[in-house]
Amino acid sequence: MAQKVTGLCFENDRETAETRQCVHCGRHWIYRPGSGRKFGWCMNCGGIHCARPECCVCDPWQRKIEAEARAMG
Amino acid sequence: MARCYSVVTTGQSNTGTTYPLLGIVGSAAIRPMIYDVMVGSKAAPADYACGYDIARSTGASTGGTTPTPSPLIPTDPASTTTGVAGATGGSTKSTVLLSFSVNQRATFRWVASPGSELVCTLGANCGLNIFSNGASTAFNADMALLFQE
Repeated sequence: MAQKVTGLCFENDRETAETRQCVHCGRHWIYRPGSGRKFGWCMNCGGIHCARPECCVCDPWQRKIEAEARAMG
Repeated sequence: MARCYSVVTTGQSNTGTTYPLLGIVGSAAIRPMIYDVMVGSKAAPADYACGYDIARSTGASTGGTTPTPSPLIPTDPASTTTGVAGATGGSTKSTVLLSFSVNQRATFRWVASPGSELVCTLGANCGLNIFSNGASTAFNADMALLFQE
């Protein structure tokens, strides 16, 4: 499944890297294929997560934000 | 449609790692979202490097300046979100949403894809800021954040 590019990095106006966003905490990281960085795939959200233990449980960040907004009234 | 604004600071020393170099502060009524980050330096070129974090913060910043966000469409009203630059106390850094490192000679820019913006927590004094996470040798940096609310 294709991974969604969630941001682009430019250095001196030249595109140098892409970023990916964790579907569970909303963090971005600079994506470097072959770097050895581990990440997971959420079958429920259909997107990658940052593989921190707290992000291995499906809890989409957008849902958290919506819940927060509801709580604020 | 969301309104877009920019907030900038120039000549900001990146020596401190605890308080925001540049940031925006939302409120309980508005949730700003950063979609573009620019960092550069106009200091005399040198091979120094600095790491930056874009992170959420809580608590009201003290010290520094409060740059006024400028609407990208001149006829838009003033933003509800406020700016902060060069803070020296008050706020507490929390979740880091993006990290990157920049050589002083380079200009760095990060642009979010639509729907992947960095979202501020809803609440009084909740902010999204650029923090230094360490410089080989401190230098003065120029920064800009584009956000929508």
